Amino acid sequence: MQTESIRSVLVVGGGTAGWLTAANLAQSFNSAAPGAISVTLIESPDIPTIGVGEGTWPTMRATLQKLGIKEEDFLRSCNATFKQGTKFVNWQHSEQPGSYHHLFTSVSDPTQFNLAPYWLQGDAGNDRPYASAVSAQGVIAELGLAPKKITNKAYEGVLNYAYHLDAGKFAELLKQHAQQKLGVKFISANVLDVTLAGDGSIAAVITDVAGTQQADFYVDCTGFQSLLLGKAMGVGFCSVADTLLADHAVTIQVPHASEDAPINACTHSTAQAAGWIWDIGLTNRRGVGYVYSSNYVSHEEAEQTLRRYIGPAADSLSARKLAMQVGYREKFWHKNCAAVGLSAAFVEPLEASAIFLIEAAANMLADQLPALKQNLPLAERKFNSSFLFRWQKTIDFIKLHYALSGRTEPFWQAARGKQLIPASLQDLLQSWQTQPVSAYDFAHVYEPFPMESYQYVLYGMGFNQQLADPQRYRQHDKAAMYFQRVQQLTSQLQQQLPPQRELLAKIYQYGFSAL
Amino acid sequence: MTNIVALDSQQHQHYKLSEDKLFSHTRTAHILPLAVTEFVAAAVSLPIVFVKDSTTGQFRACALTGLQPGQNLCWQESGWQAAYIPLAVRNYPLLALKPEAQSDDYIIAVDTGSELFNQQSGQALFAADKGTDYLQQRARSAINQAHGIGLTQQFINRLLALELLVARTLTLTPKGAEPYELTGMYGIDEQRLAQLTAEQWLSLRANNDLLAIHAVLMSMAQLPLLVARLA
Repeated sequence: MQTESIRSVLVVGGGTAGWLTAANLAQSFNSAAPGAISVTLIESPDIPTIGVGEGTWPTMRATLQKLGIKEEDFLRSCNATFKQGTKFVNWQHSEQPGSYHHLFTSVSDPTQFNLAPYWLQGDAGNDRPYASAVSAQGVIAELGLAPKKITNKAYEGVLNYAYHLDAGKFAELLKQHAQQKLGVKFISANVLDVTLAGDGSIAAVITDVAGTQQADFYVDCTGFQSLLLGKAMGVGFCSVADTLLADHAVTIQVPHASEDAPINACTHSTAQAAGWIWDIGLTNRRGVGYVYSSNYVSHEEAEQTLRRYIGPAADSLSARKLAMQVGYREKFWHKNCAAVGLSAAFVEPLEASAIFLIEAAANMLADQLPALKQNLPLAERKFNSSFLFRWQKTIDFIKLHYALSGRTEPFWQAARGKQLIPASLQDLLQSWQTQPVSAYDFAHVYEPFPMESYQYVLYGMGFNQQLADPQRYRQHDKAAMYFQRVQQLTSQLQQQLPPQRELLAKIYQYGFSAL
Repeated sequence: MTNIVALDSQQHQHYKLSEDKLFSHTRTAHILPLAVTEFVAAAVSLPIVFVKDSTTGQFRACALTGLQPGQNLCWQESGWQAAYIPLAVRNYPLLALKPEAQSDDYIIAVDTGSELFNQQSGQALFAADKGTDYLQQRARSAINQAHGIGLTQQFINRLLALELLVARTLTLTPKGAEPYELTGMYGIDEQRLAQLTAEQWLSLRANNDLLAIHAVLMSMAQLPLLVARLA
């Protein structure tokens, strides 16, 4: 029994998590070839997918490339657009309007040469915001320009970029591709029951129209229900509702006023009295949603706030309300089952962590799923410690946005209450008051958010950093060279890069070259 | 300013075409379009490269005549210097276009920004509402070139399918100036060519692509000669 090999994987649940994981596993295992490990996905024809995650990280480019999906096919079939970061509006103050960018490209990798101490000393000019001192991308995104040209090859950017996408269409694309190209077997059926073996591992999944399904390994992609890991195996849920206060979202899809309406080149995130509103531009519509805490605003009032934000265009549109379980499972992998997606964990979509952590989980699963059952316990330990770390760091990073806000409404005052800030984040904030953010603050290889992300948010939010020993940072000439380079790039790229829509139209017509 | 307009027997009835044996319109062109049907003749005097069209991202075949934008080392005040004169250069300011991608017919267009197209000097284009023999002959040449460009696109698509194109960067060090890189050019990948399966090789032979491929490879010998023209 213990030397048996793992020859089959059953993914339970579709959606972005299910199909992305199944596709990744099948690609890695070469499941289309005879005799390879089989990957099967069961999806209910009746349960709609949640599909809140419509923003990705730049990692999605490598993921799509690995799966063998052409960039132009992805862009076309998912109404996808290029995302160059996030613009945070009014996060700092309630009364005084203001905004900052969290970008994907910096002129200098801060782990190699950190420009922040020089920006703090005024080397980039006294009034220049941090983001526009170290990156040309903020200006490019504000102008609605694309991060690349038609002459760039597929998945290559002049500036680093991610995507905005229609999650429903994305799951559909992956579903077709996974079956046709990667050898994933598809079963359309409802899961009625999950049975356990004597040792507590999953024995079988019982369906309504496809009988009893068994596999050597199971992946739980059943969303908030967590049918396998949570319900059947009884793995508990660690709520972080006392750290991240938002517990609901209300969303509206807003069609563009015209076919040539400009598309935002970054996610917009605008602070409100009891949360924040996301605004994501696809080719055919915007996806807009208010993430809020029902302890501080009624559902009706939240929807009214969202409608006011959208304006008259919202009048004829229907809104959808979602309850969010914020937190993570005590374990993400238990015996012969791993959970990916909402069944594993969820935090508010402030930094587009949902899809990004699905990719990460699928990658690690594809690499770490052992060939022999006897090696499952070790793989389980590695996976659990890795993802506990990644989710806790994700929660820290989301919390950072709230911890630094000076907004005065009760929700915001509660959200930055010191007792609610994780100790790991408090330690970092304490040290950053007098010394720069350091690469050694992010020593883990699988740190979900890099050093530069923390810098964009810290300095964008006006964090008061007083370097205790500025003498240590005296490479002023080198820093000045970088700051000047950003200014040159900013004006050059404005001339060279096309508007989002213009590039997308060309891609639809000509596609990208493979080289 | 380039301004491409379809020739019209009414609108352009009084226009003439003069000829410039110096081909002065190329004085600032560092690349010039080339059809696959010209490769063998061009390869003995000009390097043949592939570049991406800046508006479509699609590959085109070109003769390289300069080492930076705005520079044509194959042109001097005394005129065109290279042994081979690309068809596109000879046909200028006329060109043939398909009104629609699927169309079999061509329309003849002219760059009205060219001084060669005028009402004072040169050969008449129209007489009694009909194209003159001179226009017929120039139009045939333009259609030949357009047809060749179509064949070139098919040729390039076959190269791409077999992954035979590879990026080439030329590092240049002008006298008394900073070295710079000429990027954005692609050439034939010789190693990849040697690794083709017998079946792939035969597909090239069936399309008569081998001659063109070897012409491109041999034309690389013209690069040092082009650099030498800098002196």
